[in-house]
Amino acid sequence: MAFGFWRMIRYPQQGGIFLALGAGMAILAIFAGRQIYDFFTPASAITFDFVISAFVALASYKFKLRPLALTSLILAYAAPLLVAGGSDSVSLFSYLLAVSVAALVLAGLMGWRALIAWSLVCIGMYSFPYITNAYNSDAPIVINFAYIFAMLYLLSGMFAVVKQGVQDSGYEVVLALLNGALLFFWIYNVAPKDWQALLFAVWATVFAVGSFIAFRASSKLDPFYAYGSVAVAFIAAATSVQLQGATLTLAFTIEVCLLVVTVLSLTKDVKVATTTSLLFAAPVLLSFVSMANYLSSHELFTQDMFALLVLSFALIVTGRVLSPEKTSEGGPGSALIVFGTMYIWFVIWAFLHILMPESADIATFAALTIYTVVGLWAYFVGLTSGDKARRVYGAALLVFVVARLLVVDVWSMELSGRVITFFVIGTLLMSTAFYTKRKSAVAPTV
Amino acid sequence: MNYIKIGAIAALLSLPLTTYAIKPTVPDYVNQQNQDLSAFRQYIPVSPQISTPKVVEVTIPNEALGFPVFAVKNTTNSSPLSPYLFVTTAPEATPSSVTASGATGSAAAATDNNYSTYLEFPLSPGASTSGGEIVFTYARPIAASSLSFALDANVALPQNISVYVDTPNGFSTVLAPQSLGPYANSVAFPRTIATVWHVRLLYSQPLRITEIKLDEVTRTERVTGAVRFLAQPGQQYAVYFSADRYVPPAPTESGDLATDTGVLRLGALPVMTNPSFVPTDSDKDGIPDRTDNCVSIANPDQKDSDGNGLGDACEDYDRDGIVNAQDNCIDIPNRDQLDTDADGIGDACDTVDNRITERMPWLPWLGIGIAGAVLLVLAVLAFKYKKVDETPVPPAPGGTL
Repeated sequence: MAFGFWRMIRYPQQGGIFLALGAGMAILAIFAGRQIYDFFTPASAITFDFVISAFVALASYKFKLRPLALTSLILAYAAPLLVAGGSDSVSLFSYLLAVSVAALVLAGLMGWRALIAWSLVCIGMYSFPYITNAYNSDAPIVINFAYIFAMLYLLSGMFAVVKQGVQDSGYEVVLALLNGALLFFWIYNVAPKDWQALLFAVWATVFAVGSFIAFRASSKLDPFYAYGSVAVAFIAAATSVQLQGATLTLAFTIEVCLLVVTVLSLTKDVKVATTTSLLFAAPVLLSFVSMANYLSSHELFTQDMFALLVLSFALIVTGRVLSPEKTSEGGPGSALIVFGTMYIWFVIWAFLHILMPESADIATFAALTIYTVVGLWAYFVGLTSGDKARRVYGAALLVFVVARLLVVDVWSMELSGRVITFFVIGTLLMSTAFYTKRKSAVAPTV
Repeated sequence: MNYIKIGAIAALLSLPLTTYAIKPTVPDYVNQQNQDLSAFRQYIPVSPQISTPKVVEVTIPNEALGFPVFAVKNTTNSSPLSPYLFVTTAPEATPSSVTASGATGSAAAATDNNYSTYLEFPLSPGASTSGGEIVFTYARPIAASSLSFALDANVALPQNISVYVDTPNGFSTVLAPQSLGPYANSVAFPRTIATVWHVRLLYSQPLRITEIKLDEVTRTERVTGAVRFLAQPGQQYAVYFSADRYVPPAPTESGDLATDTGVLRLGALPVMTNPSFVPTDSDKDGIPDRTDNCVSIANPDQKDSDGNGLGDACEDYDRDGIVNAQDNCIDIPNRDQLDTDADGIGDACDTVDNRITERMPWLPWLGIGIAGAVLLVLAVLAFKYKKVDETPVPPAPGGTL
């Protein structure tokens, strides 16, 4: 190490390699001394390891070598693994806190933000056994360190933005997400269940304030989006802790709908709002349970039905809001509307079958008739108004009805039901086919 | 010069740390040597008078062999030794008394395992034959199926020998008078169990019996235990025994203590009560395990409501698999031990909600609402500021150059 340090005076890169190698060997020698000869106490061994890492960090600072700083960080974080002796969790995380502070100071002095992210990754690796409940007895104490780390890295991110502005938006996003994800796992797995919602809410507020500070300091929206997204995720997590089942689906639906509308009204940017609408994936996934519940239900009006209708309504409204005016082409908004109407078709199907449990054929007939009427209406409205998306949607609905009749119902229905269903739907389709033909025959003369 | 100063100061500052760091840790085997001598009830102090290292053997009471856990400590330097338990077994005859009629001298001469002494049956003056009787009275009934005897030199065999035993119903013949072969030194008879045995002899010449005994088939074995260890000159030792719990042996090398050669046998020495003896108390409730009505769970009150000998703490009234002392709801089965409000009372029997979020269920929603509101307000502000920042600054009056 001494040779490396001396060599760095003239050849920083080459000397740095010697210094790093020497530091690694010294830490391994301490490990061997403890493991084989019982030569060091755990406290003295880790102190020596820390001093060695600090020396390497000092050299990196003096000679402005970022790789060497990263090396010192890795050495410092690897030290507890090489102490070869049991240490209690509080001591371990106290040491990690000291290393974190040292890393953040170095990052602050030199502007090496990568150190912050890597330090956070190392903290996450040490946290893993606790948040997976492997050391459950210590986890409730260590979670307090997790709060300190979260605040520390949030502040360091803010400080970095304030001091140097946003140099790399991707980095700010990664740091915010890493910090948020680590904190989320700690709270979700370790914190007392009755406090989780409040803890998520508090941290959502903290991250929201952080996002605003980052924005004001940098005048860029990227850090605001990054930290704001974490805040939104925490609000969603708090909601999921408080609710479950259909109520949770309902709550997520309302939250995402409000978020999309808010983002659109603030940014006036349909693309950003459309991206935000991808969050509907959460209530849509949850809705599958509600769908299964409602199908097997014997009551017409249940929470699941209400949640599905609200989700459907939210999707249609959001789709309408996001759809560009006066365009015949379908877009993300149209996709949302299609999704929303599919929920309505599902609710109609299930509602009719629950209503007529002894007459499933009639329920199927009624549902298919409704689909046919709506499909025809959509098709012709799309045809007359030149709305291609609506026309395709109507046609798809009709194809579904016909496919269902030919593939399923022709085999499963009773004879009377089959005759009535095929007659009514066939009549509807045939009559409208003539209408289409007459219209198309007239059209060329115009 | 400055570098030298800095180096010297750094060296001085690091000296305490270095001293602390290079101080070796105590090896594990040293810690293991600290045996728990409080487990032993008794000990025997040993002060061997030897001039060279010698294997010393100390006899220990037979009661201690029931739980053969021992420890030997060098009381001079407080170091433990590895003892070697040397157990010998020898057949032990049932205690008996013997009397003889028609004989001269003590009948004990025929049962003293000494072939130079004898019990003499003289021939009555003028008689061609005489009779004598030896009576064995045992401390408890013995089983035997043969009688062995040895005669003095130049003594003729008796003419016949018969054996009888006392029974509750009177006298019973075991062996009718039987003449003996020229080389006989024993007679056999059906296996018989009795306490009092009569051996009658009919002889025509003076009879001298050096030893006679009934061959017991129910004979017990006598076990003798002794502890051996390697003693050093000028050192004092204590042999601990009668432990009430297991104590691992000292992990020290003991050498060959099994070989009898050169062993200094000190025999039975005075036994002392170990003043540091502490009865085993697994649950640390102050009640020794042997008398604790709930060994594994602390229950200083020893409460046993139903008087079944098992302390209430170890009972499982609701039969949910969790003993009362650890059950957060003693009378109602709740295997999950769910205690939502963390007040120590299981949900199954908790009638009061103690969580702040249970008393104020709106609190988490308030928190979520505030967080959402803060986020919304800050978002509005952020976009408002953004617009202001992006608003082009009007050109200064007069235009630019």
